[in-house]
Amino acid sequence: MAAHTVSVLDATEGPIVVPSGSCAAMMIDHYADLLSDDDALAAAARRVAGRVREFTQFVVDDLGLDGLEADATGPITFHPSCHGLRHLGLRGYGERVLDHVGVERRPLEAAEECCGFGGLFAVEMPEISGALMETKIGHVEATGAETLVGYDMSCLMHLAGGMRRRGTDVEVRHIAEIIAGEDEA
Amino acid sequence: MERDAFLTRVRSGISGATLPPAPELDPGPLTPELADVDLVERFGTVLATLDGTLHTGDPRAAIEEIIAHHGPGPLLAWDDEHLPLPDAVHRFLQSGCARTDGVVPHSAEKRLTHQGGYFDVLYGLTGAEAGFAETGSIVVRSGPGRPRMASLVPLVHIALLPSDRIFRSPMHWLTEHGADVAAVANTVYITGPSRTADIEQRLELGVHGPREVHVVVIE
Amino acid sequence: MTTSTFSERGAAAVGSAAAAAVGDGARHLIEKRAAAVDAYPAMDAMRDRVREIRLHTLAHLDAYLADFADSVEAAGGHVFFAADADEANAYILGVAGEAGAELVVKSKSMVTEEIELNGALEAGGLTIVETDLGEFIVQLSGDRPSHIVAPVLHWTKEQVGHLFADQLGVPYADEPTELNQIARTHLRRIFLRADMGISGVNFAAASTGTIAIVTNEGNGRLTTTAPRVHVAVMGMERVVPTVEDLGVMLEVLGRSATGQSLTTYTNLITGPRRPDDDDGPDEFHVVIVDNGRTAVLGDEVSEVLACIRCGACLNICPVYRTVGGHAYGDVYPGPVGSVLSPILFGFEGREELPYACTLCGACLEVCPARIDLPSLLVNLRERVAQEGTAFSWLDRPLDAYEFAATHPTMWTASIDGASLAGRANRGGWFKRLPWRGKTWTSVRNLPAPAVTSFRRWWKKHHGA
Repeated sequence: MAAHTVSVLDATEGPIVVPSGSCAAMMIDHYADLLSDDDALAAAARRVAGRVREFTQFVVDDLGLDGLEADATGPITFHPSCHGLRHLGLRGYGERVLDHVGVERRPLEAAEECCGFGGLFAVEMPEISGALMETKIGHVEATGAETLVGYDMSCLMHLAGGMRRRGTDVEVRHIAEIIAGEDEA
Repeated sequence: MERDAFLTRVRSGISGATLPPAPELDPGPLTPELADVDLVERFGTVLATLDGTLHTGDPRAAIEEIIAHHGPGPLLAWDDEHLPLPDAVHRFLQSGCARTDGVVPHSAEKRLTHQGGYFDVLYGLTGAEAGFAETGSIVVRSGPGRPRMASLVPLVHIALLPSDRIFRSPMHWLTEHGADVAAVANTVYITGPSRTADIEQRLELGVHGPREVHVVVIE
Repeated sequence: MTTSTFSERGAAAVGSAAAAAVGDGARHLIEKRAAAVDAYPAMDAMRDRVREIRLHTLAHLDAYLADFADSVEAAGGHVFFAADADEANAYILGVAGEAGAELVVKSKSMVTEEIELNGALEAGGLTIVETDLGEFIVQLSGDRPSHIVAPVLHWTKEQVGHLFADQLGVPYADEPTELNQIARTHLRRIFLRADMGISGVNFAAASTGTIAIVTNEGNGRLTTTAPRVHVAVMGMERVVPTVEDLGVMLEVLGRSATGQSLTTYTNLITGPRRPDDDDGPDEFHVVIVDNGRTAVLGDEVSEVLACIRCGACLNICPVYRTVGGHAYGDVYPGPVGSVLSPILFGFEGREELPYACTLCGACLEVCPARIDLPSLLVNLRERVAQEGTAFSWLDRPLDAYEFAATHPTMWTASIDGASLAGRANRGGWFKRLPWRGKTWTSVRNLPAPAVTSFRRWWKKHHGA
């Protein structure tokens, strides 16, 4: 699968913007290793890795924050997902974007703690994953925010599913939806 | 296993290893970079946070005060020649404390009988080789006339520390005096009174060692 | 090792009082560590030095162990090299026999738990008493430790009170101050008449033969001072080149473990009591234990031997905090245990340990030796996956996903199919999925796919 993705992306140009830190980290740090058996593919993987940007990284480092506007009304809270935060070293990036566009951001307790998604962990060990998720949702509820914002699609899907199950009335949105506005289908 | 066979096996493990590159050791200084502070003041502040007490000023008055607070009781002390205050032991004896012999016999049976006398030692009086301002610790080294038990079995430990022996941090002392560590059988850094938080994370003092540590600075 | 799997034990532990207590305790330790690191600006530089010293030593371990043994002997001590647990235990029993020892006191040591020394000594007719307050409670109750630094995080003070009343014949008390007094009095009598003391070793300096044993309670000092024989048991990777290097380890150990700049007692021992000394043990033995460490050294995860056993990775690990220490099934729990145990003790029955992790990376961020635990766990996962011994029920769904994702026509068809399902569900939520999807919906819903896929939306708005 990595080989397919690398081949497709290597034929394109410009930054490759990825809306999930975990996917970006995979492409940046692991694709070349995964494809090390094939020199040409590994070289392509390294070229692709050099062009990959996580979404907030792209916004802050490549675009600059000027001219961005918010498309959210009520108070929000932000969950910095682990791969962006620690693996890609993007501590503070999401918060900078949100604070720049001027949404009311409420601090989330234990914000840097994992939400329990963890890729296949979510289906391999659902009870443990669910317990971590419940803790995170509890902290989100305690903020009183109307919207939970994040920058990793997979964690957000997991949390949104948990909130739905629990009856938590908090909207879940990717940070791109906050700053860009939503185009109805 | 024979030593040589054991080490040969270890060597074979290393040769198969995929350890991250093994660095040569940086010959640069091992002391941490820390802000300059007044050493005595910092020492006292840190020791207080650890529930220990630093006594500056007249050391004899400090000792009298400690004895007055707890009353007379059994004393285990270093010999006078190893204490920086010549009449310190005398002060305890004068106040009615009885001195317990600190020399433990070698024979198994006599040893147990002798150590039975350590059960309820109230005061321990020792010197201190050095103090660490950053951690509130003192360094106590064993030797003839300097029993280890004196800083360990009593409820109240009084350590006499010359004021010019306070160092910035453990590494500031160790990089100058590393050779002193192995020159004796036992060197101990004592950082406040004995403590535990094993039961429900609640801090308790004096679980096996002293409940009080008094560091008396000698000018 | 029991026959249950990690995920079974972990699932059972979720929400239990014991796991909750471990979680609370671990959180408390995280806060204390963070405060200590904030107050110590040199922490990052010292972590670099720690890593450098540990990796350097491991790469020359045979030479440093030889130096260490020579130095211990020069200081009047004895050294025994134990290939495995049996050799270590047999040697220690032999020392006890020659010394005519009957009563043995112990201070907390992971490696002696690893080699199951207590059982071996008891089988040899000795009485052995754990003296760390937490370990004493564990021993008295027949329980197991749940944390490598704080063994009874999972106990309440009332439980301890009942245990002491039942086992020590004292009146029931449940104030920690009183419980502490009871233990002090009980254990002090034992210390002063014990024949032999057994300790672990936090670090050992090759150039001088000095060993460091750190404790907060002072039981480590009593164990190594009161009895006439002291046996120190060390994992062979505990060695560093010099006393100064050992000092560097101490700069980070207490701060990482409990947020203390130094543990209360840092006990540095070089040989037995010297001829004119007033007290101390007449005999000093060091038992250097391999017990699988050579295999770790030769493994792709050998970096894990740089561990200094501070427990910071346990505390910070969200999985550990949720399931507690026992779910891991071995002496070493948490992220470091999940790497170490399968290599040290074998993969069988431990296949799931590398998966007991969300790869959140928090452990790497706090490790004082900067051990890349997430990468080491991924390495072990790849090896388990090749054997197909854990979670193989996921292989077929994942193969199907890969096939679709690498074949554009198939992908479009799959997404359109999913969109149909989404439309049927009115852009809502799946509460229960069949087949392999059920473990997802066991604890959370799944959003139904968008009615219009991004591909279709893009084509509509931007042309081809």
